[in-house]
Amino acid sequence: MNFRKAEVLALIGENGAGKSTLMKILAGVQPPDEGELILDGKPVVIDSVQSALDKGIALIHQELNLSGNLDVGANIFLGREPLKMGLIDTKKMYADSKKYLEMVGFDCDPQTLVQTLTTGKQQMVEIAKALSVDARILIMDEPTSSLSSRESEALFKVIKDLRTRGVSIIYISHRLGEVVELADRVVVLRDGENAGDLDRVDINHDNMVRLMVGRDVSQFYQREHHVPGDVLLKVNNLIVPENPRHKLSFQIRAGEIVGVAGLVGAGRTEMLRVLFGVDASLGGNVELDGKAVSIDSPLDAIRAGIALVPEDRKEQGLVLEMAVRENMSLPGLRFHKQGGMFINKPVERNVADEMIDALSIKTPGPQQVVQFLSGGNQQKVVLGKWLSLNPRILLLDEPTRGIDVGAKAEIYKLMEDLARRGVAILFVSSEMEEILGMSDRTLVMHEGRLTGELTKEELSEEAVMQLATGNVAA
Amino acid sequence: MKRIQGILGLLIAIVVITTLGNHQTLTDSNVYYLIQRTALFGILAIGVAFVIITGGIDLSIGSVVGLTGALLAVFLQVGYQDTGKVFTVKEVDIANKRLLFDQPPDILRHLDRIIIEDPKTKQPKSLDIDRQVIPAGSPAELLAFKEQVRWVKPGMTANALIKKHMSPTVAILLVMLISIGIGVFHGLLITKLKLQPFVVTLCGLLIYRGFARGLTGDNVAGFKQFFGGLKYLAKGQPFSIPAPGLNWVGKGNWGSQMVNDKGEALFNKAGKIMYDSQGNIMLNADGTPQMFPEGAADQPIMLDFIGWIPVPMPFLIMIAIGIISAIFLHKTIYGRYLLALGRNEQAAKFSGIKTDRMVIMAYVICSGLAGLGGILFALDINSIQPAGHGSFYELYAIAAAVLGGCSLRGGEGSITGVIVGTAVMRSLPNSINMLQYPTHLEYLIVGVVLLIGVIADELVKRVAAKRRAIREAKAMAELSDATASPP
Repeated sequence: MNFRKAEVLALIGENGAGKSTLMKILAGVQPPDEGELILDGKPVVIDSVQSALDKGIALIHQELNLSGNLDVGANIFLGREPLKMGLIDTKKMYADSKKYLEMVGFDCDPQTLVQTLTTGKQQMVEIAKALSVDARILIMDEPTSSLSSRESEALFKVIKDLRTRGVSIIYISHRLGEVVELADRVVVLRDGENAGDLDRVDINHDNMVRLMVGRDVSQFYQREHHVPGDVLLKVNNLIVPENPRHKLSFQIRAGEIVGVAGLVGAGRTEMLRVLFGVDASLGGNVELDGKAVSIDSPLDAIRAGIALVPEDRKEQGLVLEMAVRENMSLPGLRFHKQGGMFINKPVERNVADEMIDALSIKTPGPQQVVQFLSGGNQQKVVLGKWLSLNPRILLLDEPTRGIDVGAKAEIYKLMEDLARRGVAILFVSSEMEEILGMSDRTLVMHEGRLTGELTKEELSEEAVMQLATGNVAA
Repeated sequence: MKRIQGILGLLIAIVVITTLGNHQTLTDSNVYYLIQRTALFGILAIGVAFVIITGGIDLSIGSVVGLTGALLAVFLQVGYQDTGKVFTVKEVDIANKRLLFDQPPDILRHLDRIIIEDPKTKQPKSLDIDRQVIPAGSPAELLAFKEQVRWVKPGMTANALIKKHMSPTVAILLVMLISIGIGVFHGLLITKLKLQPFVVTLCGLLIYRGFARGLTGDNVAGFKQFFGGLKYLAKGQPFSIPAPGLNWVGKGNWGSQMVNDKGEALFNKAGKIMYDSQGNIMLNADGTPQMFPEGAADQPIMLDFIGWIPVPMPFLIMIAIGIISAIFLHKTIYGRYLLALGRNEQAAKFSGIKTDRMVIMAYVICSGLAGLGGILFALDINSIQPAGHGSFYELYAIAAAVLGGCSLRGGEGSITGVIVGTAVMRSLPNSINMLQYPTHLEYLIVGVVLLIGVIADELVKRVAAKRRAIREAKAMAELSDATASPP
């Protein structure tokens, strides 16, 4: 595999294809088993993060590695603080920080605390930090996974700008749309091997997917039209504590898939939390089958037939150190306990086996500890955990974030199956393609407000963006 | 089982090393002592394990032990109540400390004490009735006393008193309720006010200790000679279990002869004290040692191979609690909830688990068991020094739980491990004593051994985790090979 100077190379592949491992080796986080690295025609050994940095290779992790409690300048120079008589030379540190921040086009006071910045701006700080060590090769691991579209646009501009300055960028992403926009060349990894290169002219969605999956995926979003049933969930003037100024009202029919679009911070996750009883609402009510229900805790929601696949599967969806089986049975244990308090082991076993089978979860067995599964399979465990309870209303928060194309397709197919069986699905997504491909109807939110509702006919990228940026149709 | 291998090894190593240094480590009395102490501390350690599993900590255990002990002693304080009846003394038997009264026997039978005014000092003097000594056939109006009666003259009037104390059952229920209340209090502060467990229970440590001292006026409180039945809970030995080889090792009698404390060979020698086959001194009915008959032939003592260890009552209590706890933790949905929320409270909450209730429950179990332990400790020691009784016990309990495999990060724990951990914690000071190291080095040695134990455990875990990760990765790789290969 070659990397050229001043190019944007996109590295794509399904989860577990070895992208992250490869990048960790380049950045000196992990030693290679064999093979050699050749930099500027000379073989080099990278055995530590420091030696990678010395050679001008910097890695920006998917989860940003900044200290929120320190300011921007201190983060940029963390571990390399300019000294004056043994003390930190803050003047020089802030002046230099300013210089690097300008290089990425981010106008920001270096004394701002990092935790007050949005994720997109923190990303800029990370890039400035990489530039400050004079990086010639910048590795970015899914940089847009938690950015809004506007922030992503800003990032792309910076990336293109860096390219003109002669910096090589290795860009890892699951979002093929971005890759089409940015990449000069694409390398596809599959099962730790180079599955093929694509030059600029050959970069398109189908080619990439074919190389990644190793087979043709012509139809990605398989949606059939079916007539939705009765109104299942009706939300009237719901007030979410984070955005108390706005009242939310909408309804979902049985068998309907309703997408919720919007930028990051539009209040979509907060709305789902209130619907699921994690947070208390400040007003309004929720009707199920036309009857008002009060949902004060997730347990109330579960009893009412509502399930939530949360945004952060590692923090909210799964107990990572527990087995697949134990994770799946967790919400259902109480419904088939024996003798008042004992776990019904046969039921627990059956539920897990059934779900592993039904969702074709790739695991050595139900006793496998969840953290060793790939992202897509972890997400299927979360889905299985809820599907075992046969929910009538399924709330999905970014259901395909950070998972590979193959698993995505399976999750879409699952959503379609559930809708056909009459489950009402409300899904929040920041991926435009997903919203366009899956929704029967789309709700759009902006800063806590429901700015519009689009039918399948009205739905287009432009229409969504108009509403998502707060331009309410008159 | 795998998880407790290390700690079990450490326990065995300590016992073997100590026994090699001093064979008396394995006498029946020392083994009994170790088991009894392990049981008492084990009850506390099982309690704190529940809190540690939720990712919390309870520093107040020692103070709860002190407080519950003091409370029990105060509740069970024995007082005397005047019945309002006045008797007249008819006869005085100075030699036998007896008085004859003018009352019908059915009233006298219930009395515990009389008060007679001392003619010299004009002060009332109390005389406690001694029910043991009156020989059969005496008149029923005759009462024996523990004190001298030579100053009492016939015709003097006596006030009749009866003993009064709270029912032991009520006292124990009250103490348990208070300790459970403490747990609820901790749990509410930690879950509803979101205070840190460390801070809440640190304040508890100070408050309950202070309360115990205030309650008793910082004076020693105890049960004196009363409540023998209750004390059976702490000191009782309902039965003995056979321990093959115990006598031969512990009493230095390797299948041949036995040795006394000073290492001299013991014989049933003419004119000497007699020993039984367990190596114990044989006693006469009045408690004096039985002597070997004069003029009989000398006999070397051959101890039975099988020794007998009396089983302490607290051990049975701890085993019962341990079994219930293990079943609760691993077989019930609530145990599963505790393990899940200890690892990831958010995920548990998102799964419909009322995590606050579960956390409160863990603190209730912890304080409740600390209260039960406190009752047993108090009954065992009999007199409670409110300033010091139970102090540092929380640290022993926490150390035992951690040694036994509970992670302070939460979500992990095995009851068997905790019990073995407690046994290690109790064996260490005993072993220092047995090996005759100066006792002021106790903390030093216990601390160093614990640190080594925890370091070794961590290293072993790391190697195991690495091996496991490799194995898992391989399994996953095989899986994807299997599914990726064309049919």
